[in-house]
Amino acid sequence: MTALAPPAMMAEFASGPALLGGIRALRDGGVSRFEAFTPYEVAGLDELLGTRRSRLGWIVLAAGLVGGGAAYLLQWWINVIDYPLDIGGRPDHSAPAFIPITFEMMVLFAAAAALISALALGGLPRLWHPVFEVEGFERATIDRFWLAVGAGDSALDRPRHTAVLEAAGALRVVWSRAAAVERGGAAPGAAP
Amino acid sequence: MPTDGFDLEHGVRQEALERAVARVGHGWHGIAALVELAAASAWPAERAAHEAAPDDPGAAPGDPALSRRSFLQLAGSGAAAVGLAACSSRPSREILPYASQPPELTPGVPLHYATALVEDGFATGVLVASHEGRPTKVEGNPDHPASLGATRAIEQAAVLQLFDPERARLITERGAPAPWAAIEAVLDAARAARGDGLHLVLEPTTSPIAIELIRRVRAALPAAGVTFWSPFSPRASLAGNRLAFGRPLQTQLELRAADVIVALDADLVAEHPMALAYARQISDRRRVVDGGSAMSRLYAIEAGYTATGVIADHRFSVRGSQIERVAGELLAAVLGRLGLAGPPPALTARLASVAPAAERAPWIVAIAAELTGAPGRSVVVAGERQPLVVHAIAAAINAALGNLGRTVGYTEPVAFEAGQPSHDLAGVVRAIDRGAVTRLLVLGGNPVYTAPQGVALAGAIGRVADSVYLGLYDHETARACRYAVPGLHELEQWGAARAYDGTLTPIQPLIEPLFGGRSVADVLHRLLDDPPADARDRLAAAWSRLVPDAPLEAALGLGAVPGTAAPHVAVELAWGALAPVISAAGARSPAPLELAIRPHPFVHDGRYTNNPWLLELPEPITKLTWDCAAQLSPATAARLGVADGDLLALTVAGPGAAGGDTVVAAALAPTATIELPAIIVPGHADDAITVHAGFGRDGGEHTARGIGASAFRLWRSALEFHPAITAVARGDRRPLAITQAELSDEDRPLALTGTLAGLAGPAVRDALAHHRGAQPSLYARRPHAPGAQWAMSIDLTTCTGCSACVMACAAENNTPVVGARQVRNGREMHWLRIDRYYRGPADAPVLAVQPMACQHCELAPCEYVCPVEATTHSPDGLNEMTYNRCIGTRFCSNNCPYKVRRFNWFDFKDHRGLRIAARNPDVTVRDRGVMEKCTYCVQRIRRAEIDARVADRPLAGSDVRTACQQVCPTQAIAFGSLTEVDSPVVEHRRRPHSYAVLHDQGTAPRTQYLARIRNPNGALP
Amino acid sequence: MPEPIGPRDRGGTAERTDGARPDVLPDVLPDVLIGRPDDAALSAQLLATTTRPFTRGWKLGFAICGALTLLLFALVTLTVLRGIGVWGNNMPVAWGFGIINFVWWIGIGHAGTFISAILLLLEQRWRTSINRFTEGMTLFAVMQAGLFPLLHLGRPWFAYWLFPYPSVMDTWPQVRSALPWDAAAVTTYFLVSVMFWYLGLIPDLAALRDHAPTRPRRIAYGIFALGWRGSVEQWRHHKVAYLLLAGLATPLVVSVHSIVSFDFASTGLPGWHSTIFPPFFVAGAILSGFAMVLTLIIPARRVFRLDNVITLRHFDAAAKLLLVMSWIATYAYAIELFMAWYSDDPYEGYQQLVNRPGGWYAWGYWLMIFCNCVVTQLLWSRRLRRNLKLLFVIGLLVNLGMWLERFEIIVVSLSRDFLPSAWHLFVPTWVDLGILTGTLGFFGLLFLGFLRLVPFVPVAELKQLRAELAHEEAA
Repeated sequence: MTALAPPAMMAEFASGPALLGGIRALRDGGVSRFEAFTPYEVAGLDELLGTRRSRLGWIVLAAGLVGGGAAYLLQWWINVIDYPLDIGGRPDHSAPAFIPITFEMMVLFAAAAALISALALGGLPRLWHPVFEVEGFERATIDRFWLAVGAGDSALDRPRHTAVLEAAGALRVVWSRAAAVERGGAAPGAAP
Repeated sequence: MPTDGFDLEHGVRQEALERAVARVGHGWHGIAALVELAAASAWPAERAAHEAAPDDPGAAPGDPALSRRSFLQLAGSGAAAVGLAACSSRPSREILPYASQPPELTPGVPLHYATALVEDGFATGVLVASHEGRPTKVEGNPDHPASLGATRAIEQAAVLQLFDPERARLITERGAPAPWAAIEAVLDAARAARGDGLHLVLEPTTSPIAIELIRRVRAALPAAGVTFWSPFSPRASLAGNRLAFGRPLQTQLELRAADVIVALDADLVAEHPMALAYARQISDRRRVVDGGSAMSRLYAIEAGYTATGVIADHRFSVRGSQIERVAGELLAAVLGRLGLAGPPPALTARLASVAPAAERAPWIVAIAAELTGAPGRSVVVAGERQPLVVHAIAAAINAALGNLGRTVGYTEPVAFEAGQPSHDLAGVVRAIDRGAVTRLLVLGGNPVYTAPQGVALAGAIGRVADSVYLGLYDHETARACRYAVPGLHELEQWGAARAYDGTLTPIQPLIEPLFGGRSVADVLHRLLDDPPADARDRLAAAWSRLVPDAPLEAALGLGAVPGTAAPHVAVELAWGALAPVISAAGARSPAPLELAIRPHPFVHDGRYTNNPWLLELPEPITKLTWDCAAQLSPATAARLGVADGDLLALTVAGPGAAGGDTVVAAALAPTATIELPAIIVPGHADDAITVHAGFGRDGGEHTARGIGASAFRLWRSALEFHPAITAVARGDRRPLAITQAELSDEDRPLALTGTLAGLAGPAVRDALAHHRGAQPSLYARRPHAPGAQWAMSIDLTTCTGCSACVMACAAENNTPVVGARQVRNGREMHWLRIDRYYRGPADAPVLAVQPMACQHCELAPCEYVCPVEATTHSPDGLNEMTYNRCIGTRFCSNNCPYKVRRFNWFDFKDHRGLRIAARNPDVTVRDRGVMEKCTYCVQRIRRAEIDARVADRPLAGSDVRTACQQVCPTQAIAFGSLTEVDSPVVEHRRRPHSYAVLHDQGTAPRTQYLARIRNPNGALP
Repeated sequence: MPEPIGPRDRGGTAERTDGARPDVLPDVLPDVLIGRPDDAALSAQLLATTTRPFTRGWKLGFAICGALTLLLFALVTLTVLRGIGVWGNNMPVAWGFGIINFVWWIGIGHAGTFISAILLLLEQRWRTSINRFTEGMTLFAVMQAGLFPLLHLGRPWFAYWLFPYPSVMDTWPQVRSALPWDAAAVTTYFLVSVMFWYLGLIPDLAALRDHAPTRPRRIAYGIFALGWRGSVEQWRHHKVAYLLLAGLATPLVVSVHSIVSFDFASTGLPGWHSTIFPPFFVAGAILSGFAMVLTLIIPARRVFRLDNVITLRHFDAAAKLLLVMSWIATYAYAIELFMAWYSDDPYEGYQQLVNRPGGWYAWGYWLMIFCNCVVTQLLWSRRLRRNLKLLFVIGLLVNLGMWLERFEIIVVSLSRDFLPSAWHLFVPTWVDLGILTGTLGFFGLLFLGFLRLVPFVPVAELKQLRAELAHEEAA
C-alpha cells in the first residue's frame, strides 16, 4: 500500500500474534485487503496477507552479471584493442589477471542493485506518509503492531469491525473521518 | 655537517649557505658582502667576473649586451654566449641573438672539442661535449695515449668542478675584495728587485710553453727561487731509478708484451698516472674467449686492496714496510735461478744468504720461477708508495731478466726538473726561514694542506710580507696567503701539457672564464711585464716556436701530437751503487702498527674534494661515500677492538732521523694525531692501516669542509713511507655512509668465477651452462619486433671496479646527489653500482666485483606490477620508465630481483644556480616521487637512430655506445644489437662463460656477464 | 510527543511472564538476551545509548582521539609537502609502515563482515547482539586502511590514475598489477560494507526518529530513516535484500584479503612468492579482527551496561573463533618454513629459515609467534574464555602480533632479498610512528561518534530474535 490515500481504519495491537489474530478476525468479517506496520518482521504475516515472493533476487543477479561482464570487457578492450603494450612479456589478453576486478565489480553492482531496489520496491525514500499522522503510530517502530484497511474496501463497517477488533485484542481502533461519514449504516451484503 | 648541504632535509640551510658563498667569494666573511658589492662596482675587471656570478642578485640574468660582447669575443667557437647563459640562475630566460650563429653550431646537437685535463702535471686527453657552448660531458680521447678513449671517474666529474658555485670569484686581500692593481704592484716590485726575495711555488709542469716561461723568469729574475710541489707526483720511482741507473729516470711500461706481471704495491690500473693505458694493456692480454685463450698472469703484492689486486690472479697481502724485504727475497731467488755474472760477488754472496720468510717462501719461489721462465716477457713494478730501494730492486730484477727495452723502458723525466732539488717543498720553508723570501707566489695547488707534517709551510707563509695565491678555490693555501686571485679551470684556459709518456697535448677552453680568473701563464707573463695579449695568440706563438713541425690547429683537432712521446734512453744498471743499498734492504724491523697514506681514488690529494659527484661515488673497495676511514684487516681490527665506524685516534711520532729529505726540525710538532672511523677490509695486510688522503679540509669550500681528517697530518716527509703509528679506540663511533654493507655473497651464483684451466674442462662449462638459455614459461614468448634488439655484456675478468662507469652514468643521466644522510639510509641514486663480494678466508680473500644496473629483462618483473603502465617494454627490448606516468608505488622496485631501481624520496634534483649547467639537456631531470633506473642510455640510442635516418643508412649496433661502455678503461662492457650475429655482444654470448645473473628467476635479462676467469699459477695452492 | 515507553505497558506485562522463565528450555539460547526484556524495555535500553549525557570520561575519550587525529592530519600534510622520504623507507625496503598499516587495518575490518554476513547465513543468532557494532568497526578500520595506499605514493595527487577513465593520453591502469585489483577490492569492500550497514540500520533510525527527544534529532534521523514505516512490503524486500547483501559480502570478504595478499604472492620476492598467502591472509585478517572486536566491545559493554544483551556466550564464541584462526595462522607459519626447506630454494630458504627467525628482526618474529600462536592457546579453557580481563589482554596481544606479522612479511622480506649487495635495514622515523598512532586515534574518534549517534546493537533484529525465542519457548 504505497498510495498516499490515508487508510480508512487502523488498529493498534500489542504483539505480533495479537496482530495476526486481529487480521484473521477482520477477514472473517469480510474485509479482504490489509496493510500492516510492525517494528520487526512478524512470523506468518506474509502468508496471512498472501504477498508474493520478492523479485529482488532477479534484479540483483542481472546487475551482477552486467557489472562483471562490463568489467571484463573493459579490461579486454584496454589491453587488446585500445592500447596494447608489452608488459613484462605477458600476452595482451592476460585472462587470469582480469578476474579479480571482474569479480569485484560484479559484487559491487549486485550490492548496489540490492540496496536501491529494496528501497524502491518498499516505496522509499518517502519522508512523510499519512499514517504518521495517526496518534500513537510512532510506537509502530518500538513495540506496537498496526493493522490498516484502505478506504477503498467496501466491506468495512465501523461499529461491527470496531467490536471485532477490540475482541481480538486491539488496544485502539482509529477511523478516518472520511470513512466514518460515508459508511454510517450497515454495509449491504456484508453478512454471509 | 657539510654533507647536509646535499641532504634535502636540510635544503633550506644549504640554500642559504650557497647564496652566501655565491654572493661573496668568501662566504665565511660576513661583512665582506657589503664591501665586495661596493668593490664590484669600483673595479671593472671585477665587475665582469661579477656579472658572470650565477647566484648573484646584482647580475641581471641574460644581460644581452654582455652576452653579445662575449659572443663576439669567442666567435670562433661560439661558446661564450651560452656559456654565460649557463651561468644565469635561470638559463631558460637567456635569449641569444642567433643572427650571428657560427656555422658549426646547430642548436640541440652537441659539439665535441679535444682538450686535456691535467693532474700532477700529466695530461689525459679528453673530448668534451658542448651543448651550445655549455660543456656537459667529458669523454676519453681515443687518439690520446694516456686515455685511449677512456677516462677515470675524476675526469667524468670535471664539468661539475667547472660549474662549482663555490669557486673563488674575487681577488681578495685577507678576505676583503682587492684590485688587480695590488697584485701587479707585487709583481712589479719583484721584477724591479730582479727576483730578489721572490719565490714561486708551482705545480709540477710538463708543458713546454710553461717550461719556457719559467726559464725566462729564471733568466730575467735570477735571484728568484722556484719550487714545484704536488704531494703524489712520481718521486720515489725517479729517485729509485737514480739509485739504479745513476740519474733520475721515469719508468715506462709496455704491459702488452708482459706474460708475467709482478706489482709490488703498485696500483697500475687505477692509481698510476698512466693507469688508463696500463689497464687497457693488461686487460688486452686477459680477454678470455674460451679455455684455450692465452692469458697473462698478474701477481699483486700489496698491503691495502687496490684495483690491481682485484684483477690479479694471485694477490698476497704484505704490509708496506715488508715489501722491500719481499723484493729482496725475490731478487735473491731470481738471481739464484739465473746465476748471473752481473752483480758484484759481495752482493751475490749476501743475496745467497737471503732466505725467504717461511710463510712466503712457496710463492716467492713460484714467482721467481715464473719470472725466470719468461725472460724479456715479464716485468716487476714497484709503486710510488714504496721506498727507493724497492724501485731499485725492481729495476735490477727487470735488468737481470732482460726485460729492459721489451716490457720496461726508461725516459728522461717528463715533468720539468722532476727528481731535482727544486721539487722539495722543504726548500721553500728553509728559504723563508732564512729570511730570503719577501714575496711568495703560490700558483696553483694547495701546498699548505698537502705539505708533509715536517714542512711547516702555513706558519712560514705568515712570515712572508707579500704572498699571493692563484687558484680555483678559497682553500687553506689561499687563506694563508695575503692575496688570493681566482684561477682558471682547465676547461677555461689555453695551454699545453704532456702525457706521462711525454706525448704533447694541446689544451683549449670550452667556455669563457666563468669568474674572470687568471691562468698561471697570465701571472708569469705579467711578472715578466710582457705586453697584454690574448691567451690563444700567446699559445699559438709559443707553439709555432717550440713545436714548429706540428701546426696547432691540427693538434687541437686531434687532441695530441703523435710521435712526441719521450724517447727511451739506454741505461746501464749500476750494480756497484746498488749493492750496499740492496744488502741493507729490509733490515729495519717492522713496527707493531704502521701507516700507509694513499691518494684517494676520486678526490686524489684533496683537489677534488669539493666535488659532490666524487664524494658520493662509493670508494671501490670499501664502498664508503662522503667520508674517509682507516682501513685495516679483520685481525688488526680485533686486536684494536674496533668494528666498522668505531673512531680510532691515529698518532704518529714526529719525523726522526728516518725520511728521505731533510726537514725543518724546529717547526715540528712532536706528534700528530687524527681521528678516523675504522673500516674493516678483508685482505688488508695485518698490523697496517691505510688512510686515503684528501679529506679533513678546512678551507672555504663548503662542501669539502669538515669531512673526515687529513692523512697529510700524519705524513712526516715526502720520501718516508709506512711510519710506525699508534691507534687507540676512542670508544665512540660515527655511522659510515656505505652503499654496500654486506661483504659476502652468501654463496649465491651472482658474480661467477672460474679458472682458465677449469674453463678448458667440461665440468666448469656445464656448470656455467646452467646459468643461461631458455627458461620454461606458461606463456608463449612475444616475438621480437623487427629492428635492433639492444643488449649488453660485461666481462668480469677485466673489470677492475674502478667505478669510472658509475660516474659516467651519473654525468650522462643527470642522476642527483643525495648526501651522506640519505646514503646512510640506502637512498643513493646511482643507476649503476659496482657490487663487490669477498670469497674465501678473511685473511686472504678473493674479491669479485660486478657492475650491476638494470638488466632490461625480457620478462621484466617490474613491468607487470606497475599499476599505471609507467614501466613498459619497448619494441627494441628496452625496459622503459615513463617518468611522467609514474605515481611512485615503488612496487616495481620490490619486484626487481636485482634491486637496481632508484626512487626520488625527496625533490633530490639540484635547483640551485650554477651546478645545473652541468646537466645533460638530452635527459629528463626527474621529479620528486618517481622511480628511475638505467635506460641503456636511450637518449644515445634515439640520437643514433635519428642520425642514421638523416644519413639514410641502416642503424648499426656499433652506432650506439652507452656512457658506461665508452668510459671503461678495460673495455669490459660490450653493447649492441642481438640481431647482428657478428656484433661483440652476440659474440660474448657465444662464449662458454657467458651467463645471466639470477637466471633461475626466469627474467631473461638482456644484460649478461662473462664469468670472472682467473689464471692462477698451478704451482701455488 | 512520544509516550513514555517501558515495562509498565500492558503488552509488556504479558510478554514478561513468558520471558520470566528463560531456563525452561535450555536449548534455545538460554544465555542470550538474559532476562528476556520485552520490546519496550529493549528499545528503551538500546536507543538510550544515543541520548546519554556526556560524562567527563566521554569528553576525555573524544579529546584524546581528537588530538591524535590532528596529529595524523599534520603528519599527512608533512608527508605530502616534503615527500615520502620523511618516512623510513629506503632501497630495498621500498614499502614500510604504510603498507603494513594498510594490511593491518583492512584485516581488522574483516571480522565485522565475517560476523554480520557469514554468521547470519549460518543462522548463528547470537551474532545479532554484536553485528552492527562490528560492522561499524569494519567501516572505520577500512577508512584507516584506505588512507595508506594514497599516502604511500610518491605522487599521491595522481592516485586516481589507478582507476580507468578516458584520459587525453589514452593511458589506462595496468590491470596485470595487483594494485588496481586492490583499488577495486577495497573500494567495493568499503561501499558494500556501508550499504549492508545502512540497510540494517534503517528500521532503528526510524525508531530513533519516532522517539528523538529533540526536533533537530528527529529531523536528522527522519531524513536518514527515509520514511521507514515498517510496512509488510518494506519488511519483505528488506529481508531479502539484507540476506542477499550478506550473501554477496561473504565471498567479498574472502576475496578482499586474498587480493591484498596478491600484492605479495604475485611477486617473486623471497618471503612473498607463496601460494598459501590468500587463505593465510584471510585467516589472519579474521584473527586480528576478532581481537579488535574484543578490544572494543569489552569496554563498551561495561560502559553501557549491556551485560544482558552482550553476554558471556558472545565472548565464549568469539574466543573459540580466535583460537581457530590462531591455529590456521600457526599452520601457515609452519607451512612457510616447511616449503622453504622442502623447495630447496636458496633465497626462500635464507628468508624463512635464517633471516626471519635469526636475522636482525628476529625479536619481532618470535614476539609474533608468541602473540599469535602461544598466548591464544589459553583459550582452550572455558573458564578463561569467559574471563573478560584476560580476553581483553589477549585481544591487545593478538593485535600486536598481527601487526608484527605484516612487518615480518613486508619489511623483513624486502630488507634481504636476492642480491646481498642491495641488502639494507629499515628503521622507522617518528613520522612513521606518528601516523600509525594517528590512525588509531582517528579510528577511535569515528568509533566514539558511532557509539553516540546510532544504536550499536540492532534493536529491531534483537526484538525479532526475542519474539522468535518467546515463540519457541512457548512451543
